[in-house]
Amino acid sequence: MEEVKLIGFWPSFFGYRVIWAFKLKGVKYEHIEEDLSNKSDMLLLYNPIHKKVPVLVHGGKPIAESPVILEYIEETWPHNPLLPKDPYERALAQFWIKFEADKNPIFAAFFRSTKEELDDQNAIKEIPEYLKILEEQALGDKKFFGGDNIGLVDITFGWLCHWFKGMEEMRGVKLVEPSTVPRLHAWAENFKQLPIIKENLTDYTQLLAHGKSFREKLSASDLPSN
Amino acid sequence: MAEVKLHGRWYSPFLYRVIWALKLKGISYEYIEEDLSNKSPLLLQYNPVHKKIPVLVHSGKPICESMIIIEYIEEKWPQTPLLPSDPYERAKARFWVKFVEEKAPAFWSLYRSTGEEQKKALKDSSETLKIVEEQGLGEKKFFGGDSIGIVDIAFGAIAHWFGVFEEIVEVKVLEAHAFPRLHAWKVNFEEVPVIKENLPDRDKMLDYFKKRRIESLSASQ
Repeated sequence: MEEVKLIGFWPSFFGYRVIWAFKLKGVKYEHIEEDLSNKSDMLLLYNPIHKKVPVLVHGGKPIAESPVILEYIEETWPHNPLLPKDPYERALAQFWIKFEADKNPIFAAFFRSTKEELDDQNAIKEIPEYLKILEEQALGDKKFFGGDNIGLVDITFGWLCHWFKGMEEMRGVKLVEPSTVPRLHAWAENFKQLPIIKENLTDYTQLLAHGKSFREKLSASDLPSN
Repeated sequence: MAEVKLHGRWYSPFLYRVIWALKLKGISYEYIEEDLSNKSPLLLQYNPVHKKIPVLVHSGKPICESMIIIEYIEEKWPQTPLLPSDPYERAKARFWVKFVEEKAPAFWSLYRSTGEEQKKALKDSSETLKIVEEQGLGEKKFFGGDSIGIVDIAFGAIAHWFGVFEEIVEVKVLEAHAFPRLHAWKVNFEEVPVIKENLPDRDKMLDYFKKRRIESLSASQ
């Protein structure tokens, strides 16, 4: 059997998407921790274009970009499927996965915003609408985005249940609330309680500390993950 | 056979990606032109999140986002495959589709902006072309190998429209001496019969995009 390696950076939720997919499918892999402040030759070799994590290396062959990695995992280890069988339902799932990727900059901006920008509401104005769209159009009355069980869409938005909580706490705002997005709030709680997710989350205290120090060092460089 | 409808706007590169995929696979469809300045209730019903075209409607069910539509078409109509069969090669193709989608704004920006912003767009689009040429295309004739595939379609739309934009802003970026392989690829791509026979009228495009640029630049004064 070919070896599976996952290059990641411990605070990055992008890497956790891959971890969750592997755990759900029972795929054994070797985790390689990358220090993004001092990128290894290995990372630059495996991801020369973006120089980011996560990178999956399967039998020596690298794949970058978490949505691409997730689709590869789904095709290579098809048991315990994380995407619907029906092509139309798959297209809908892909739509939401792309939506998340396209809108990610809103959250990066929120995370990096200055106190003035936050007070001015400019940094967060697009987020309530985004959350409403997720609740009404993507989730609807389902327990999970994937239906009764989680799928790639849940995994893609999984950062809302933990990493975003950290962002909310650091910035002193509450956005995923039962009063504004009750079903999404319930989804986040349900998702986080799943054993595989619960047992595979970054330590929250360490995450907050990292986030705080990251904000302090903010410069023109990009966020560490993709 | 269940009905296939395609909602689009004649000057959209995203629309053409889908047209090329449908034509390459010999799929019949009904085309519906949308007026984006006065969006139809049907469009808003089919694409409530983005309110954009193209939208493919198959047996009454709408699919949005050009590259997602193409993946759907690939699954429903497997003839003339646009993706490799090997999962690793498929992952590489999807990586490039994602890359091209993320970098596309710089190509539009060259057309939309002036001054410093345009200079930045020039730099960004050149860098992207270099990466695409060296790492994406390499020595291949097409991104898909000997015949065109999903990456050719994704990037081909951007490259063709970029050619129109270069003419309008009088800045040449994708030139043979700077990007020999990519330039050759573009020529070959636009010679593929399905592509050649399915491009919007160039004069009409030049006229439309020139007018639009004047309007938007004067509106932002």
